[in-house]
Order: sequence, then structure tokens, then C-alpha cells
Amino acid sequence: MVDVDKLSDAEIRSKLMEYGFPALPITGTTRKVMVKKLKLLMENKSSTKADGRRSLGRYSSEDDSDNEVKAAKNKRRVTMAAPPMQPPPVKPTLKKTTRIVETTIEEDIPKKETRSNTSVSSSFSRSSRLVRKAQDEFDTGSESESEIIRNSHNLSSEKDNKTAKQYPISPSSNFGVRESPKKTFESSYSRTFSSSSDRPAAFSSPLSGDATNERLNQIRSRLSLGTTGPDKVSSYSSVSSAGPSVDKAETPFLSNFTRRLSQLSASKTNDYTYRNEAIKEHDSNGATSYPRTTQYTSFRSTLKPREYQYDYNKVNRNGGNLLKDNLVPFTVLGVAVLFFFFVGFIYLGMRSDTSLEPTGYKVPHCDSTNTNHMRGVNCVLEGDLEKAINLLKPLRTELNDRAIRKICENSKISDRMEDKDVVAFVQGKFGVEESRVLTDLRNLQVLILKNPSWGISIVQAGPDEEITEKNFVKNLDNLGFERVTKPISLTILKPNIPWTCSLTNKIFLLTKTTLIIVAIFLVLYLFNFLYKKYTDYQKRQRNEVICLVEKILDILQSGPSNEGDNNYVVINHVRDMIIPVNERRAKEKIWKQAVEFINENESRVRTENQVVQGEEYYVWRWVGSSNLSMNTSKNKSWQGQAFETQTGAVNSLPCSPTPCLKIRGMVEDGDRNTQLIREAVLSKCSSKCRILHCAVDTNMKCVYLKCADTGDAAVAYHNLHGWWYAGQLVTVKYLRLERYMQRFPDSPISGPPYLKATLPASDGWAN
Amino acid sequence: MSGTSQKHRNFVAEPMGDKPVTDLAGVGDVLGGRLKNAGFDKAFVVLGQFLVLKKNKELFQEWMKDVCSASSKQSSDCWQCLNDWCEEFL
Repeated sequence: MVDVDKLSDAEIRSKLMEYGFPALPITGTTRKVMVKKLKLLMENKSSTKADGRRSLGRYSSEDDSDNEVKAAKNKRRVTMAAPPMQPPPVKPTLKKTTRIVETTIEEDIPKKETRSNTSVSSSFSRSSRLVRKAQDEFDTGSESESEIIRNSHNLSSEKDNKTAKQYPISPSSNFGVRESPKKTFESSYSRTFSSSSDRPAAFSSPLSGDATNERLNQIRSRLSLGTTGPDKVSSYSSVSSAGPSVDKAETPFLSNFTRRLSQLSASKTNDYTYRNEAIKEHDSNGATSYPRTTQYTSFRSTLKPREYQYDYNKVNRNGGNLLKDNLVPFTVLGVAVLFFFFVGFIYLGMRSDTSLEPTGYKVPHCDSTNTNHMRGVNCVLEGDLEKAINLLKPLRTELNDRAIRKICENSKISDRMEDKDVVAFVQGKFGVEESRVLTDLRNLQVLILKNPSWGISIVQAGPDEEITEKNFVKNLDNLGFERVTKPISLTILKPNIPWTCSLTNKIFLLTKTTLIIVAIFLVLYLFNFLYKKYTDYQKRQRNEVICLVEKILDILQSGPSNEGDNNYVVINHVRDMIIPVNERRAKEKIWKQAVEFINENESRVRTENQVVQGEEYYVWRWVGSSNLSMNTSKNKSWQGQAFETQTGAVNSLPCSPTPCLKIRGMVEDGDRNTQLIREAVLSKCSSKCRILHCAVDTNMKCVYLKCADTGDAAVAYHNLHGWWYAGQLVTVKYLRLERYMQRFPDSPISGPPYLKATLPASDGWAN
Repeated sequence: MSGTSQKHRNFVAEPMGDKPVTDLAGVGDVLGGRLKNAGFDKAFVVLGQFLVLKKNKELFQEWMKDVCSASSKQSSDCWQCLNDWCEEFL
């Protein structure tokens, strides 16, 4: 064993790579650890004989863990490459991999056992043991050889070295016909590793299922990685060497091996490069399946079959997924279709399948001894029976046809056949003379009466008369004189309707019914909608009237109370005060209602006729006491400032953070007169700042104000905060713009127009 | 592992900046002193080593054991700490 400590950094690195360890930088700080690792690996390698089963478990664990992380391949590869070479004592420290190892060992052991039962594998393992010994030799010697290899810079020299060691030991029968030493080397080398790892169990079913595919993927990813160690290749080649031909393993392995070597020396034979490329191409395919047993030879010659195989697999997988993913919808669909078929069959089966053939029938024979018997009325002569039955068949078909035509094609043809119709029909068809036909018809009518199962009815009705139960002929005796006015006719009331016709009829009926129902619902909905609209409208009207009345009362209360006699307001002026110019015409009706309401229901207001500036007007005079408590509270106006809000004050911000304000203390409980409050706010501020939007929320008892910018908001804040309004202290807070927009999404974002007070600022407090 | 230590959480919560090596989870005063003697005075130097070892836990533990004779618990804590930090900030 070479003293690892004396190796250079680069040597350690290549050595580690040889053992399948990921390439890490060897620096001053990491060297020690790496050397330790290398030693451990080398020790472990020599003890693989005892560790065969474990390595199996580790290998499969690696496969499984490979499923988990495919996206993070690079990161994974590093960790992936490490586990198989971990010495058993180190294993528990590797959290991720070891956890899976413990679970998968149990799964794989039975596989391995079954596998070892087969003669192929047992013979294989026997021979492999032989080779393993050789491998051990090879391993121990490899350190000393590695220098030789590097010195010679020759690829084939190393190969020759190794083949020289391997060749005598490996059984020649296994390797078949091998001329070139290179090839023997390949095979022996692959065998060596396959035997050393002894892992065929993991591949006991190489072509079945996703597990194999993933293993192959993993192997392939390692092949393309370039840092892969012999152990992975060995696991790969072991699979194929377990098969009938050793050949199958050699190419992938060989390419990998050459790649590894190519990192050490630049020299490469043409053959190798070819194979390398082949493998590369194959790797870049990213194929999911690698069917070695069937595909190997074709792989060597061309890559096309492989690609084909890949495509096939891909398509297969996709198809499976489609069905699997949509299993429930497909099932539902299928059940629905089956259900409808079932219903259809049931429906068709329900229709009475009356055959046209009169199988058995009762015949009232004429008995000469019975005096009641009258020929052609209630009995039939033996001789005439056959002719009547002969007449029945075409007649019945014709009747059925007519009935169907009447029902399905809605034609004008009557479904009834009178005597003359029958005669015309029979003569036209068979050319029988009239008297004969009439006799037969008479007999037939007797038979029809006696055999209701034929489905033919005899009706005595006028040509335009509807057929009812009443005019069914029960007895030929009492036809009487009406036979002249109301001729008897034959008809089939329940004809054998073809299913297309009946289906059309049913659908038509169904559609008609549905349409009627829909129409009824529509009408009902319309009525409901209109009723709701109407009640809504009425409610709004009432609310508006009440609102208007309150406004009027407010104006009257706070109105001019200067002299005792002039304490009145002209009605039309009040209207003009309350209703904006553009709405006056529209709100005339409401105004009239409000006026009426006040005249009828408001005792504190008296309507008078006064001369104002030489013209007669109807005026309202407030006669209610102005000393009432409610009066003072109702006096909605600015009453003075409670405290100063200077810019330097503690509670006022130096500059406004938002353009929106929330004003508390102006709205009272149940206050409907939002217009007045709005007006008050606007009259207070609008002369000093630009206001975009002002809204009064009676639920929250707040007034919301939106100014053009933050500076305007600050002005409004200073003008409103800390004032008395209607006996209450007004407090203002800044409101975030987004909250404001949430509450009033349709408030204007920018002006002009800016809101202005309709009344000029009337309070004396404005500064 | 039943949760993580307060030290771990503190370290993982923010960028490490110029934190001393003793701020790492699993590294106390004794280990910290040894690491400082070995030239690893800041947490980011240890992070550098951690990254050079490609976040390999085993190797990192081996290294910790080698450079400051840390126990497997201590080195595991330290590795977990750095790994979590990297997941957060790297």
C-alpha cells in the first residue's frame, strides 16, 4: 500500500475520482480530510468481499433516492456518487442515503435470493468470485501502477497491464471469441467489477417497470457525468453480464472507462472515440428505457432502434397517464352513456309489440238452427271465413299505414276507412268485384267485433267527428238508420308507430311542454321583478320625501328668526335652496308630495299667504317654539374652535401623509340630513382647498373627504379638526388612500372639477 | 432531532456578517478557541470551508473533528446550522 499522505493534491484528487468520489478541491485545509477519506475508501475496497450484501443495499438505495431528486441533479450527483463507496461504519452519519438504505435492503434481499436460485446467476457468482480475487490483487497493485500509467501516457499500456492480470483468471468460455486484447480487457474489466460488487439482484427484472428505467437513467447520468467511478459501472455491467451475453455490458462501461482515462491522458484510439460518441448520443437522448437484452446488437451498429424504443416508451407512458389521470371523468361518462342506452332500450321495449298476424281468432259460425243468427250481422258462414280473413290482411296494413301517416306526417288523409274506401282500395289492388268485397267486409266486421285483440275498431261517426268511446260500434245489430248519415268505418286507434316517428313526436311534445313551463316561469319572474321594482321605487320615493321634509324643517328651524313678524320663508325659495337647479324639474313631484306632507302632518309649520316684496307668495312660518331642546341640538352649524391646531402642535402632523380624511363627530345617530353635513364641510373648507370627493356615512357616523393632494388635505385638516359642530367636537384623522378607494371606488382620482359649497360660507368663524 | 437550539435559530435568522465563529451552533468557547487558533476566527471562514467541502456533511464533520476535535453532535449542529443558513441566504 502506497503512503497516501505523500501523494500530491492532484494525485489525491484523481485517486478519489477513481474510487467514485466527487471531485472536491484539495486545499490546505481539506487535504487532511481527503487523505483520510481516501484511506478509508481503499480499505473499504479491499473488504468488499464481506460487504457484498451491503453494497447491494446501498446501490438500490441510491436508485431510490435518485427518484426523489431529479431536478437538482448537480447537487444530487455529488451526494449520489458518494454513498456506494461509503464504508459501513460511516454510513449512519449520512442521513439522507442511509435512511433509504435500511428500507430498501429488506426489499432487495428477497430479490437477490430468488435471483441466486437461477443457474445463470449462481454460475455467474461462482465465476465472479474467482475474478474478485483478481480484482483485489488489481486494487492493491493499482496505486503503484497508477504512476506507471501516468508516466507512459499511454492508454493501451494500462489496459495491457490490467488485461495481463485479468485474462488468465477469467474463464475464456464466458468471453466468447475475442481477438483483440482490448476487447478482452473490456470484458474482463467489466466482469471484474461486476463480480466485486455482486449486485445482480437489483436488476433481477431488467426490462420491467419504472424502477429499471430509473436505474438506467441513473447509470446514464453517471456516464455523462464523467466523474463516475468504476463501482457504478460495475453495477451496470453486472446486470448485463448476468444475461446470456457478456458483450452487452461492455460498450457503456468501456466508454465510461475511457472517459475517465481520457481525463488523465489525452491519447485516445479511434475506436474509443467512436464508442464514446455513441454513448454520448445515447445519453443525450435521455431515454427512459434501455432494453439491453434485445437492443444491444443494434445499438452497436446504429442508434436508430434505440431512439425508436425510446419514442415507443414515451408514447406508452403518456397514453397510460392520460387514461390514469382522467379515470374518474371517463368512468362517469361511460356510466352516463350506458344509462341512456339502458333507458332507450327500456323505452323501446315498453311499446306493445302487437304483431299484424292474427294468430288465433274467434269465429262466430252461423248456425242454421239458431234463429238469432243473421248472416253478415252476428255470424259468419264457414265458406266466407277464408275470404274475410284474406281481406283482413291487406286491409289491416292499409289501416295501419293510414294511421301512421296521420300521426307522423300530419297528412290530411283520414285514418278511417268507410265501406266505399275499402271497396275502392280492394278493387284498385286486387280487382275484385264490388258485391263480393262488400260481403266479405260485412263478415270481416263481424269478425273484428268478436276479436278485439286485432286492434281494429269499428266506428260510427261523421267524417269530421272526433272518435270517442261513445261512437264505437259494439254490435252490428243496432246500427239502425244512422248508417246513412253516419257511415261506419274501420280504424286502428293504436297503430304500430315506427320508433323514429314516436321519438320525434315525444321530443316535440317534450319541447312544447318545456317551452310552456319556461314561458310560465318567465312571466312569473317578470311579474316578481316588476313588483319588486315598483315597491323599491315607492320606498325610494317615500324616503326622498321624508328627506326633503327634514331639510325643509331644518331650514325653517334655523331660518330667519330676526323679527317676530317676518319669521317665515317663501315655499318656493325653500325649494330652490334644497334642490339644485338641474334637478328641479325632475323632483317636482317629490317636492309637491313633501309640501303636502308638511301641510298635513307638520303642526309646527303654518302655511300662509304673504306679500313679499309686492308679490304674493305662499310662505311657511315656523310656529314651533325655538326654545325646545331639540331645536338647539338641531342647530347644525359651526360653533367655534375648541383648540388650536397649529403646524407645530403635538397631535398634528407636520405634513399630511395622504390626501384623504375621515371626520368624526359631525353625523348623529339616525341623521338623514347628509346633504346639510356635506354642505357644512364644504362651506368650511372648499374655499381654501381643492376637494375632490365628500361623502357622509351615516352607518359609521363619519364624513369622508378626499382632497386633490396632501397639501390640500392638510389645509382641510386644520380647518376642521378641533371645531365644534352642532354641539359636538369634530375630530379628523388621515385615511390611507387605498382604504378610501376601497370604500369609494368610484371617487374621482383627480380634478377639476372640485367640489364647492352651494351656499357661501355663512359662518362667522371662518378664518 | 427535537427542534433546533436558540443559537441555531439566531444564526439562521439573519445574514452572518462579521459574526465570530462562536456564534455558530455547536461551537462554544472551547471549540471557538481552537478554531481561532487554526485561523478560523469568523463564522464566514468556516462557511468557506463548508462550501469548499461542497456541503458534504460527512467530510465537514471529519474536518471539524480534525481541526478542533469536535464531537459528532457538535459538528452535526454546526453543519446543520451552516446548511440552513445557506438555504436561506446563499
